[in-house]
Amino acid sequence: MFSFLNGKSPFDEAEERLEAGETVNGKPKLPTGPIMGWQDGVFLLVIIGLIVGGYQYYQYVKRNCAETFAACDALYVAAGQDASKFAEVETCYEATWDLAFVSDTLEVLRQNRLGEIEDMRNAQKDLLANANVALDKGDTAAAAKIVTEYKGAMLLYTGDKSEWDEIVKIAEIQAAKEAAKVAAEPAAE
Amino acid sequence: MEAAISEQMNARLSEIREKFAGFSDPDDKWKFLLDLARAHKGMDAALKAEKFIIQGCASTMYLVPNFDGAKIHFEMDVEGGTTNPLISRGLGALALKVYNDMAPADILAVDPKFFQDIGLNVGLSPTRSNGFASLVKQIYLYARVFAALTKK
Repeated sequence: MFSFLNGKSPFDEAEERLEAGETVNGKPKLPTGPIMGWQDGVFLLVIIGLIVGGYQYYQYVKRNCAETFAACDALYVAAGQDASKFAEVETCYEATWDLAFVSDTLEVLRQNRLGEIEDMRNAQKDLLANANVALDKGDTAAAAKIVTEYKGAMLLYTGDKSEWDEIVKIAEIQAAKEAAKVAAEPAAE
Repeated sequence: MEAAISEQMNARLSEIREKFAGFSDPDDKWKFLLDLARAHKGMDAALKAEKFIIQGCASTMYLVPNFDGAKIHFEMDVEGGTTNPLISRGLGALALKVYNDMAPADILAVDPKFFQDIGLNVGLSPTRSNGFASLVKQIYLYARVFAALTKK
C-alpha cells in the first residue's frame, strides 16, 4: 500500500523514541526527518499533473464542442435565408458525433435540428413520389413542375437522388421544348 | 375505458403524467427523453430481424414482443447508422415504460391518446411523431393478437 509515512505515524515514531528514553525536556523528541520520500514526491507530482492535465483536456474538449456547435448554428441561421444550405447544416451536425463531450442542451439542439432536416427530407421524398405518380400517368409537365418549383436543399439519398435528377432532366428537356416552341411560333406567323 | 385500467397501469400512467406536468422548461421534455434513451438497454443483435422493424420511423426501430401467456415483454432498439437517434430511442423507451410487461388487456385498456394528452407531441418533429404513432400502433396490434390467442 502507498503511504507518505512509510507505514508509520509520527506519533508511533515519537512513542518509540520515548520508550527508548529519548526526550527533550521530558517530552518525546518530535520526528525531524523529511515529510515524504522522493518517490512519494514524484507520485504526488504525477497525480497533480494528471488532475491539471485532465482538467485542461476537459476544457479544450468543451471549447472545441462549443465552437463546432456554434459553426453549425451559424450555418443553420444562414440556411434560414437560403434553404439549399440545409444539406451543409446536416453535414455539420453529423460531424459533431465525433465530439468527445456534448452537453444535454447541445444534444437536444442537435437532435432537434437533425430531426427538422429529416422532416425536410421526408417532404422532398413525398414530392418525388408525387412526381413519379405524375410520370406514371404520362404527365411529364406536372412532374417537371414539381421538381422545378422545389427550392429546398437536395436532401435525398443516392437512389432517390438519381430519380430526382432524372426528373430534373425531363423538366429541362420539357422547358427546352417549350422554349423552342415559343421561338418557332413567330416564324410560323 | 378508463375504468378497465389496472392499478399497476394506472400507477404508470400517473407517474408519467406527473413527470410531464412538472416540466417547466421546453427542453426538460427532451432531456427526460435523452435520459430514458441512455438508460435503455439495447437488444441482442440476433433479434434484429426485418419483421420486427417498425415501419414509418426515420431511424430503424426494432420492437420484439415476447408473450409468456399472461404478459407481453417487449424489447426495443433503435439504429441510426452514423447518427445516434437518442430522441427516437427515448420515445421508444417511454412507450415501453407504459406498455412493457403488461397483460394484453391492460395495454388495450389505455387510450393511445394518453401521450397526446400529456403533451408529448408538442414540438415533436412530424417524422418522430409519425414514428412514435407507428410504434404505439404496433404495440396495440401485438396486444390484440395475444389477447385473441389467450381467448382461444
